[in-house]
Amino acid sequence: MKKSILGITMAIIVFMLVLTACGGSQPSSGGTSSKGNDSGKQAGQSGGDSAQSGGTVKIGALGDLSGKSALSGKFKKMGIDLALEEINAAGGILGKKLEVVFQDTQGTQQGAVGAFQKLVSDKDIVAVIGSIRSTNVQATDSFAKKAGIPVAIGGTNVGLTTKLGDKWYFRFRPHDGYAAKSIAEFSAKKLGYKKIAIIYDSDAFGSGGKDLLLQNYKEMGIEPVAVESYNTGNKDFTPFLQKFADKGAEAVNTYMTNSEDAGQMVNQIHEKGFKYQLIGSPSLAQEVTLKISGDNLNGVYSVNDFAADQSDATIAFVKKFKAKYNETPDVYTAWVYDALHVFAKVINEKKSTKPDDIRDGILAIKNYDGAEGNYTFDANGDGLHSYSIVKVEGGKIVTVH
Amino acid sequence: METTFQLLVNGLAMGSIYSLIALGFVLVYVAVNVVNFAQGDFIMVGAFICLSLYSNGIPIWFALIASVLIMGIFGFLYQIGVYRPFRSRSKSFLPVMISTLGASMFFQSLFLVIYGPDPRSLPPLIGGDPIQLGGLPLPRQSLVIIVFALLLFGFQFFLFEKTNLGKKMQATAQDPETARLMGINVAWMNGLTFVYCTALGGIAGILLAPLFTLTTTIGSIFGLKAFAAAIVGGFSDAKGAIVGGLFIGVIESFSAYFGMGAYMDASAFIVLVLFLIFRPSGLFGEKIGTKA
Repeated sequence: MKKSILGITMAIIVFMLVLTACGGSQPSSGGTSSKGNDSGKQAGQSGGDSAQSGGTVKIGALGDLSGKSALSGKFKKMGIDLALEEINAAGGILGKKLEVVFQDTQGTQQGAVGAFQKLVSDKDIVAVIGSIRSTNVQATDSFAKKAGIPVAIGGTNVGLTTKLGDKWYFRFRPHDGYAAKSIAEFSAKKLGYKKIAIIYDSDAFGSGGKDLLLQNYKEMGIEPVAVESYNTGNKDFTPFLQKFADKGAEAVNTYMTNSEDAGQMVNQIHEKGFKYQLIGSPSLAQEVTLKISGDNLNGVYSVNDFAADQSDATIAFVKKFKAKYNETPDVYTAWVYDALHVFAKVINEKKSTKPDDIRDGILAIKNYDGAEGNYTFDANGDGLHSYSIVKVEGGKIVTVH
Repeated sequence: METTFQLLVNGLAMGSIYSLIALGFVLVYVAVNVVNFAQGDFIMVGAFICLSLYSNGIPIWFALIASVLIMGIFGFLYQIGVYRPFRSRSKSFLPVMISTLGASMFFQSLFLVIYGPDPRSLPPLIGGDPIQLGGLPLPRQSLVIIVFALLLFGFQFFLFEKTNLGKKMQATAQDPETARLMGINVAWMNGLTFVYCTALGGIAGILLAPLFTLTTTIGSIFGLKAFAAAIVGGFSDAKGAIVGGLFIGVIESFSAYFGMGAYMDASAFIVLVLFLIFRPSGLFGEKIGTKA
């Protein structure tokens, strides 16, 4: 009797284990490259007057004004509208009014591809502001190549500009490789730590980041004292923390996918009284970690690609944004605001809307102070090359570098 | 030396949590012949109740005591709703087991609706930097967990070996028919077993919540490890559950340190498999297959 009870119990346990494994855990914040989607519900037009193409210059934009990412789409549209207003107030483009044509992606990849095709089939559209999602950027690649007009992108997967070989893609956010570079340089050069340990999530994001970190440290001639991996959703970090202490680590770099895990680890570091400095990927300093760790989080550093106080240009942008919308802009807004301004600037300087002229103009941009960062485009079409460093002080996330 | 000490303290603290949950598994199993799948979820329920009380301004120690009492009542209602309706349904144990499995899923979904997916945290019972003991730092919450567990183990021993009530519960577990003939109210004794085990789970949850982020699924992984601990201990008595839990906790702590990082969770189950192969009776139990 009891034999079969335990037998069946075991079977159910195995079944539950499988279920749990399949359920997996979704990365929450700060995780991987491309967070939101773009949006654009009504295939409507915003700004500008009616579509008399003689009187306007048209730029297209993908947006997710409907679907599951409608909020990020709303922020994207607000960023674009603000830039549009400023450009037209300053005299427009080539003496004409600038007009932005939105196409809705409905928050899906198929929707993004469809919307993108619609935009580039309009011969009056001279450039497009694309998606912040790496998968969407990848999906629209062949259409962008075919259309042959400049596309601003916000996905941060490294390969989007280096591997696709799409000469029409221009990235207005720093890619993931720079996050690792910023973490390594800040830890070793700015803070001067020599004994550095690394803890990373065993998933694609974490192990990819770990490889980039190791590569950066190798170039600096630094050998991390310990490199440890854990599984997403791990509960007990103590053995790793103890190992770091034993190896004499002064600083620990984190490449953690979930902010939940990061917060938990910070609490355990505090509880066990370990003293090393934490410098990590964006998941480390987020609202979620602040919620979990509270004061324990004070003093940690983390990289971040948009913080409201990161530069004078950003502060000015945030001020204007707040005045217009009475909301605080986020990562979805700044890069599109910059992209539209850059397109307008280049077209005005080149006095041409020919794709090749715009491309040359963008590639020639050096030290352009935008809301998202300071742009200098390289041959791959990457405009930004570093992340800001933020620090948690008194329960607030502030930019320090 | 310091490392060994730290890993040991950490392992014992984790193991204490496993032990408390494993105790719940074993006592219910021995008493009513059912593996209660919701045992792991009791830690989640207990911790969330404590969190609710605490965030409404009740001091943490009072919140702890109140939550344990509430958990006791919860356990009583649990056995009325989940165990009793199926108790006498045919001779099969399966309906009850499925019922507990359903309850586990129900609790997880219910608490997800109430508290949302954001992870929460409880404050430590005694905050502050680690206590220094002859140059060795002792993390306070780990210490609190271990001390609490020791007290509860002591209470367990006292209750079952020294009091009339405990003896009645034991007698009921060993032979319900004879116990009934001796005038023991078997239904009440079984109910009390559930109350006791639910409260144990609740305490475990409140003890670990300051160290681990509290989500509605936290019960699953702790429940599974505690189940492994119960098997390693023999699945037959309290002593086995306690030692099994501590054993699994310490093994995990050391295996993660010595290079098994990403396989830390797996180590508990590797131990389980080794035990099932080489010592199926567990550390203390009778051979699982032949148990009467």
